[in-house]
Amino acid sequence: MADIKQDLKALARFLDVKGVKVNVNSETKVPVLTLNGMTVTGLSSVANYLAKTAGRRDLIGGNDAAERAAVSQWLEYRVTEIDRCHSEKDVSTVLKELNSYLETRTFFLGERVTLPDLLIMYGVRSAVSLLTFQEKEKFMHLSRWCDNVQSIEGVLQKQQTPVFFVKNPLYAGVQS
Amino acid sequence: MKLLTDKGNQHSLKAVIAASVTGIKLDLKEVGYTDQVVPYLRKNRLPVLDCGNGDYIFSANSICRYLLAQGGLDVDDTQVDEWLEWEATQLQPVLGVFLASLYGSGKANVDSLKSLLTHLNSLLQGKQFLVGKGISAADISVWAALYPAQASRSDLLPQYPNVESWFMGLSGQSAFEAGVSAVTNGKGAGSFKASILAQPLVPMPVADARTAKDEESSVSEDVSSEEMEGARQAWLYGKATTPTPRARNHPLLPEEGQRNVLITSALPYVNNVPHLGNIIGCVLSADVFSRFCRLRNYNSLYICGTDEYGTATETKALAEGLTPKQICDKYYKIHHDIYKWFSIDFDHFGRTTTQQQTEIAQDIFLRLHERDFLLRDTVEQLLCVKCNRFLADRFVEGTCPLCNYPDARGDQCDKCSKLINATELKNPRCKICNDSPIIKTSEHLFLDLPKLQSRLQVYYDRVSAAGDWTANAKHVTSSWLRDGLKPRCITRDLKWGTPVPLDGFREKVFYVWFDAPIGYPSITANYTDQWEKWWKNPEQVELYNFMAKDNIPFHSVIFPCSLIGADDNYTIVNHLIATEYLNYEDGKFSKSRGIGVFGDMAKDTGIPSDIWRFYLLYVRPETMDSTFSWADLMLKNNSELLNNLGNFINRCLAFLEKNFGGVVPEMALEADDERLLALVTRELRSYKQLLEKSKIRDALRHILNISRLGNQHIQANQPWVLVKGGDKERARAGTVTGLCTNISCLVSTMLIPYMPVTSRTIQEQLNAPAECNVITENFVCYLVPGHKIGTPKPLFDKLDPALIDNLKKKFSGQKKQDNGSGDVSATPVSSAPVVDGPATPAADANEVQRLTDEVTKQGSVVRKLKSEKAEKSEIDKEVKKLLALKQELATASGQNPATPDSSSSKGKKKKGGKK
Repeated sequence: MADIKQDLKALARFLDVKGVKVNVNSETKVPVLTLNGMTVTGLSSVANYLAKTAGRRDLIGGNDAAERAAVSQWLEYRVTEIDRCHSEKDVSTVLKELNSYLETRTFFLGERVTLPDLLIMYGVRSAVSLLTFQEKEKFMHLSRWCDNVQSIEGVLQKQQTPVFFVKNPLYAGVQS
Repeated sequence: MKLLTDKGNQHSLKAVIAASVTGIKLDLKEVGYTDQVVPYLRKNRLPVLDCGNGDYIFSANSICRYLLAQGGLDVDDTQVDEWLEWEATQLQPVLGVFLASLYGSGKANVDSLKSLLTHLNSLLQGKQFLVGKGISAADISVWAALYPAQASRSDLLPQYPNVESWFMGLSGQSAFEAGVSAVTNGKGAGSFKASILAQPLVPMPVADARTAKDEESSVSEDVSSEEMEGARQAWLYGKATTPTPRARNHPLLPEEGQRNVLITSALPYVNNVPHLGNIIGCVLSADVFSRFCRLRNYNSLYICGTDEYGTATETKALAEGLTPKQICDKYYKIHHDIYKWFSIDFDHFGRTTTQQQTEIAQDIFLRLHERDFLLRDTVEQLLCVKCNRFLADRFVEGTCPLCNYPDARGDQCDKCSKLINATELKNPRCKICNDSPIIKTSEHLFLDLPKLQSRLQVYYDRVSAAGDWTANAKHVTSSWLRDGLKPRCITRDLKWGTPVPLDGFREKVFYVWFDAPIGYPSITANYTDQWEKWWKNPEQVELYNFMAKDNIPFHSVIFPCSLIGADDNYTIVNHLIATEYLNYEDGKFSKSRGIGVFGDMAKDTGIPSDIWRFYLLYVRPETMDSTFSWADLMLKNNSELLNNLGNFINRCLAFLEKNFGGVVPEMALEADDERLLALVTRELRSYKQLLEKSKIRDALRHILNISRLGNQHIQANQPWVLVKGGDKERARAGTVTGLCTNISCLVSTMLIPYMPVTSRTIQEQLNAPAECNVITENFVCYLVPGHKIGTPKPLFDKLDPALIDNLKKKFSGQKKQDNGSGDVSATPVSSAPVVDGPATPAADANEVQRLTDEVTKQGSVVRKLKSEKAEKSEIDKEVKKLLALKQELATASGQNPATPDSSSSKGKKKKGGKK
């Protein structure tokens, strides 16, 4: 569903980490980061590493073990669930799960933006942009969260257009 | 803390061992795989850690790390991250399959694990632990993952000595032993079986780079050899059996042996400038279908025109100091020009104010009268003597008979919201001249719909099953029939309309809703005097009505009843295609507030009409309302038109010109090409099937799929490399290019209903023969080897974000338009106006003046009372009146949205409030 290389580069730019090189193995889809002589393998490992390098431990849960566990869980979800959808049905299941989860949360870890918000938003963006207005309204919480995250400064790179959401409900009885 | 897990789940080892290592107490609670444990997950994942505060952790690796962290033993090392990620994303997908096989059938291919274990082996060289000098989550996780495999197949690890020694080293540790014991209940490797077989498998990485575009056209890429052979035959030999486009000679008349298709679009009301929603709902949709019918060689006729009678025109005429006919002439031209700009190719675009209208309407009326389908009844109406007109509900105000609110409107009281009749108002006054109207009884004629209901039901049951009716059309019609039809008044005391040809009623005219649909046959009668061959010929003619959903009952119930009652073998609607509403950005179109794009403004944006057509059709509100969005317009233009369609055609033709002198070369088809032909044929057939059913929006996507397939074919074959090679390579490049040139030709034909101007341009660039403009089941080669094309040029321009931003601002209502015709809700145009519809400018201007005077007057009253130090209750009463007047004034001058008055004249609920 997503472009792993582009996502990690976007993340690096958001975090203002320069000199980042990313290569993605076309078969295994595993990205490898090279930065200042160090190599890191795997999407969530790379993301964690970038956050730490940029001094942004707040994005990966700081010193709170529960938060760090949640961050690692959702980054794992991005790789094993979101990036591995083989069919429309899989995509639909993912969107439903995320929508349910986000019903009671502003961001993935509650009130604060963290790495999962960024990487999962990058991951589902293209699927969400293909939804009809009615479907976006059905996945109301997901849409709200997606719009919030993509509006954060620096999250979307210049060439990425934000997904369009209508803020007024158009349909009666649509929300699940 | 509680760990929720099924029995014998090997992933739970990760948690139990971690707890054991840190000494944290972990309770195991048994749950089943079908139990919903985590509220928001749709797929069950076990084990799950219940943290107790409503949070759950459902990733086994994360649970492991969390427990270690709680015990102060987690290692903050990127390498631990990497191992855990490797375990979850690389090891598990393969291992899961291996274990399922092993525990299921007892047989499993150890080779599948080879590369993973080799990798593990090499990294464990000389190491006792995966990371650093002690146990980390990495060790626990990978060990636990491998345990069930190792426990069942002791021959697995010895081939990987480093792995084996690391594994055994950990196995001996007490925490690990305790873990195994807890999870297996001391029962050995067999206890993993049930869980392993129930666990969902972690998916493998997706093999190809699936971009958003691929997601959309997720058509199965497998074609059968029959399909390929069929496509090849059609390509090579199809031209001989494919018909050429039929000549169309006006006047078009039904022909024996042809499929005769009569297409109407709801007549736009002449007085309103149409907005994009009106256009997509009616004329544009019908135009696509009409052009498609021509491509199918059906004998089709597309009729439309302006609907010109009714109160609104009469009132506007007074305001502008012109006769109603002059108003109609002026606005007819505006409509005509707008539709021309949008390339709407009517076979005839007429008007309802003709002699033929009068003749046909009166004829139908008299036949209904002779056959006893009309009822007489007296109706009480308010007549303003000064203005010498009967007042429509919205031109009357007075005191509410129920709550005494002094400013109740003619059909509904604003204060208590109850529906009332204008004649019930106390102290009524004419809104135009403020005089008190008198009540006059007036006799009117009613169409006896109840008497015709059973015949309509028979007709409707037949055509709704046999024909194409959109879901909304069926719903609305069924509910009208279910509720039981009531007589409807078909006459009015007005001057501008078709006169009623019956004694006692000769000063009256037909109510516009009775008379407007008769415009369809009368406009046809203006086109040809042999109109009856279309309109009194149900055996040979199929009638399609296109409209927006608010017009449905008039086309499915009232007009058919009129025709059935007239008993003259009239052609009655077979297929009814109704759209939902098009919204504008976040809200609704409004001419008075300058929100939204109206027909005459589209041209001034500099964006070509074909782009407008494309986007409106792309978002055509078929099964649900949709929205016009500038950002989306830009995106679709730049991605679908520019990068997909335009790019494909242009690169192909440019390449042909540059490398083959613009001449189509010999094409020797290989299997890959035949596969492409088959896939293109599939898309073509879907397109045809969808357009036959008027599924206009969906059919468009298949055109885009075809150009996408073309692009992919070029990418895959890389003809720019091939041409630099030897003869064989050059020939291959020629085949690919020639094939894609022909695909461009097919696309140009399929595009005609949607983007006629662009299609013509492409065909000029291709120098395409006219015979290619037919749609059949087959993709035929029209541009044969030796055919010379014209001059390729890019087809589309990029839409610049700055331009789009400007346009969006321009149409968002910052400027006030003072000649607006009131707030138009998202309602697309009706085929006749609602009699008590939106306020006209005349009423507005007079209204504003009158209210301003009232406010001034009332202001003085209040001031006087205050200076006289009158009773507080009296002052309050007058102040209240003043505030109400001020509110009204604001409303009338368009500052606050007013709830548009009575379209509830039809007893229908208006859609949504204002935002």
